[in-house]
Amino acid sequence: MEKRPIYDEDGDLYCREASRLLSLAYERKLDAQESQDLVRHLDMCFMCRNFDSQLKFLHAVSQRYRSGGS
Amino acid sequence: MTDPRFAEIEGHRPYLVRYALSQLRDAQLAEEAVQEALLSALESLSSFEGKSSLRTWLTSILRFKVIDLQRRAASDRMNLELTDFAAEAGDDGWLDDLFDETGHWRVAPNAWGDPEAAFEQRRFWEAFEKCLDRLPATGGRVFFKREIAGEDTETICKEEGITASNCWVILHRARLALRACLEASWFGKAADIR
Repeated sequence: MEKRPIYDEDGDLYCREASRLLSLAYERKLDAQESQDLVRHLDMCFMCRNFDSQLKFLHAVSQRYRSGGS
Repeated sequence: MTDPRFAEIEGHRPYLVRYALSQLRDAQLAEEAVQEALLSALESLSSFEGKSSLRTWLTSILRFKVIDLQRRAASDRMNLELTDFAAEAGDDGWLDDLFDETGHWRVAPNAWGDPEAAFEQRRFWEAFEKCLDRLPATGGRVFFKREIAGEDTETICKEEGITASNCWVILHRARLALRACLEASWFGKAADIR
């Protein structure tokens, strides 16, 4: 069992944790702390913003695929 | 006698085979499940009231055929890939491939521009299916049920016999793998394929 720290020394989320929360948001409602951390991280990090858009895209692709888009 | 919906049902076959394949990972079993589902569908076509789409209705019939076949192949649970197994056990060491020791992306996700333009291209859908095929077995099953068929997480976890949080880890892993695969094979940037 190996767990990595979630926050860096400045109290900001690591990308590793931010990406996990972005994915998790499709499964359950994030709590206040999680949302707050995420908003702050996304403001600073273009990589996780890209990942966020890609998750939305994966969701849209999947729905299109179900309704016979292919 | 010939219901015009017979032909329409047949038109959904490729999608249904995809669904079955994502769950069973065995072409022959998948065919068997779809065949049984279509037979049941034809028999009960008069009871279909069109409250959901035909595809949704057919998928719900197929779902139970698939579950039935999975139960018969109970040893299937032994075929879990190691990484999935680690994910189920709560070990997130597999993320080390994607994130460095400081918690940052090893390969930065690129901007994809206007990705939805890809919907209009037939070859995009082939690339998407290829990426789905490359997912590890559990990830492929869970992702297909959750995102494509739109089933709820709770039901999926129950069927897979795993906890919700393990289910979330498996979904996260599948999404990371899919985005890396699409970035490499379609959005044309060098990325880690896994």
